[in-house]
Order: sequence, then C-alpha cells, then structure tokens
Amino acid sequence: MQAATDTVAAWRADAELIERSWRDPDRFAEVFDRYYDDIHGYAARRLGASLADDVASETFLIAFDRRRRFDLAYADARPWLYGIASNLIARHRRAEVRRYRALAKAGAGAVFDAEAEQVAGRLDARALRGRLAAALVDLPHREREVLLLVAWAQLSCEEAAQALGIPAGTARSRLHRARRRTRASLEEAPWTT
Amino acid sequence: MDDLTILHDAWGAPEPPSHRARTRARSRLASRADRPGRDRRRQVVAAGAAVVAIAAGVTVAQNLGSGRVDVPVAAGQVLERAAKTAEQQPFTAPRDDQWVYSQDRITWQDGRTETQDRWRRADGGGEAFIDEHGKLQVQMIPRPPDRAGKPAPPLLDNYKTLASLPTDPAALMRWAYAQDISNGNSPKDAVVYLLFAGMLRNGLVPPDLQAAMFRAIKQIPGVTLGTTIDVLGRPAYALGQTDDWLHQELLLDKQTYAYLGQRSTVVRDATIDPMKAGNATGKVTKGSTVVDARVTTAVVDKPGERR
Repeated sequence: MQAATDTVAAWRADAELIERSWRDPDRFAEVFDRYYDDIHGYAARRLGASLADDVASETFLIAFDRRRRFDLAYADARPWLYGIASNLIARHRRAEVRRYRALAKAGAGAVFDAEAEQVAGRLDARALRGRLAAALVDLPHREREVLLLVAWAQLSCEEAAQALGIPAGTARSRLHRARRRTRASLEEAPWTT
Repeated sequence: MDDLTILHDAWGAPEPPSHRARTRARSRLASRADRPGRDRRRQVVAAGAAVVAIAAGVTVAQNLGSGRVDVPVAAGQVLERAAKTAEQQPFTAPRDDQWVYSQDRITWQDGRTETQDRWRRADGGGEAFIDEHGKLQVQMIPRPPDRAGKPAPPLLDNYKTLASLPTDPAALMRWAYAQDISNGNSPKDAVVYLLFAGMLRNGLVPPDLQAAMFRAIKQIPGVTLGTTIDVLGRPAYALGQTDDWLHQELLLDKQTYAYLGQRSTVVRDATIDPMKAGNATGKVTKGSTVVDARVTTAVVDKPGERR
C-alpha cells in the first residue's frame, strides 16, 4: 500500500490540473507556475533580484483579483501579466535608472575585449553592455518600456501595445524611436570607426 | 545581429527566482484565493463529520451522517444499464450558436452553499456566468495558440469538442490515456476517471459518447460503485475512486442515470500544495467534504436564459 503512495500522489497532481483547467480560480495555480519565472526574470532585468521578488509576487496577486477580465485558459496570458508587471515596475523608476547607471559603469571596461571579438568576425553582445546601459538611462521611460517588453520580454510590438494599454501605432512609433537611439549609441562604439 | 538581439543577449538570462521567493509568492497567492467571499471551487479543507473508509477496490458501507448510506453494488452491471439507457435517449444536438446552461449547487466543507450558473457556447466560442454581484458576465473566447508553445488545457467543456470524440469505448479509453494533461505526463487511471466526470459536469455529452464513457469507466481500475442519497434528496449511484488523500465520487440518477453531481471527501489528514488545498497552510482534514449538485441544465439561445 505504502509503495503505491508516490504514484498515487502523481496522479493526484495531474487530476488537480484538469480540475483547474475547468474551474477558473484554480486555473490560477497553473498560470502562476507557468509564468512566474518569466515575470520574475523580466522584473529582475529591469530592477534587480530583490525588487523583482516583490514585483513578481504582486503581479500575480493583482492578476488574480482581475482574473474575471481575462480568460486564462484560452488566451495568451503573457501580455496581460507583463502589463501588470510594467505598471508595478514603473513605480520604481528611480531604482531602475540607478541600476542602468551602475551597469553602464560596470560595462565600460568590457569594450576592449570586444575588439578581439570583432576581429574574429563575431560581435559579442555582452561587450556592448556599457553603451547599451547608458542608452537605457537616456531613453524616455515610455519608450524604454516598449523597447524592453520587445527585447527582454520577447513580446511582439502588438502584444507590448496590448500590455501597456496603448494603441498599436503608438507602441510602434515609440519602439521605432527607442531603437533608433539604441542603434545610434551602438554605432558610437570605437571599433566601428 | 540587430539591436534588439544585442539588447536581449547583452546581460544574459537573469538568475532564476530563489526557491524562497517563489514559495512566498505562491503562498501569498493561495491566501488571497482563500479570502472569505471569494469564488472558491473544489477546495477541500477543515472540519466536517462525514467519514468514508475505503479499502483497495471495495466500497465500505458507511453512515455519512445526514441520512446518506453508501451500499456497494456491482459496478459493471449498473454501468452497462447506464450505457444502454443513454443510447435510447432522444437527443437533439445544439446549434453552434446555442448555449448549454447549467446550474449547480455547491456545498462547501463548512456547510456554506453556493449556486453556480454557467453558460457555455456549443461551439466553444464563449462562456458566461453570474458574478459575485449577481451580474451576467459573458466572455467570448479567443483562441490564439500559446506563444510559449506549451499545450493548452483540454477544451472539453463545449459540445462541439465533445461531439468529435470517439464513441467506441476502447477508442475513447485510448484517447483519454493519450491526453497530454500536464508537463508531458499522460494521465493515469484516477485522472481518466476525473476527466470523464468533468466532461459530464461541464458539457452536454451526446448520448453515444455518454454510453461509451460509461462502458469505458467500467474498465478503469479502482472504480467502485455504491448507492446514496444526494444533497437534494435524490437517490443516486455513486461511482467512486480514491486517489491518495481524496475520494472522488460521480453521482448518477438511479432511474435515468443522468449526471447528478460530484462529491469529494478527504480520506486522510494531509498537507498538500496550498494552491490545491485552497488555503494558506495546505492542510486538508480527514472527513471534509465538498459536494457539487446539478440542479438543472438546458440548451438555450442566449447566455442569461435558463430555459
């Protein structure tokens, strides 16, 4: 009897999942398990690990309270969750910019290594950290938000618009401006001259 | 390499969240779900006087307190009769744009009852319910594929999908055991049983599928049969299966074999995932029961209509 316990527990887990997929509040555990790491990772990129703990946790509490506005079983929950996370991250704008400043300083030394990489015909993105971080510091918050949802959260531009609750055209033009500024900062890199 | 890729790769992937942060976030979410007044579903916790003793493969007759008596019956015969009855039922398939309405009464472990009204569009295109303020909420369901490429939950709550399932018992069993339920795991016996129970609860099951389902349930190991009186006083057959700490029963009308509801009973004290227990501690107590009773069901033209 005891020998069967583990197997039975595994069955139970599966059964619960089915139940959840049918009954919406319970679907939420699945949503949490599926997306927590992604949301946490995104917040960590923008704010660092410790603020990310708070932001990710809060994101799912807010999402749970608003779950009626969203059918979790059928549609992609990512834009919706990233939208909530973006609003929470926006409350920490100063901490975010401080973080990019620190990254800009830390990355400055790496530029020289990049020349060797360039010679080898391979551009190492990591070598550009300093300039990228500096570009992020300078970007207006609203442009940065769209850029990072696309570059870091890997949303499409339409999904980023959906996440932020802005028209798709607005998101496109913000993304365009942000990318132009980012490219300009990359082109200033010493080995391209 | 374009600027977006450079930006994505520049700092590599961040450290995964700590175990502690994740556990804390998950239990905060579980507490939120446990707040009084929330729309709680199959949460099985705390007090309750019912006692059900289950030994491997045998339903033991027990007095369940409120005049309900479980008596073991030969499961195979009853399920075969249920299948035959289903096959003889007159049935008109709903149109794609019609809605399947159902009303269920849930009795929680603390004795509180709740009435749930649900409408599901026959083609799976929408769902409606009455929210906590008594207002009708209709959600039309878009179906974009999951971007992460992960399998979507089974869409077994609409008539169109149910009508497409195999109606041969063996083929239905193969289909059920082939479902990718979670994380690439195929379902086990207990899950297949729950899958069928859930289809009966959530959908309008065409008679030929119903018959196949009853014959398939006959073949699921560990499924037992008893008789009982349900919370609305209706004589019922109770198809039961025990899975670790939980005994799940599917109740069928003794005369018509129509779906009457489900009963979940905790058969031993356990500490489980708080999200699954629906409380912050994750503790479930032996004897706790949650009962689902089907009050009525109908095919209607619009969400909000009841007949």
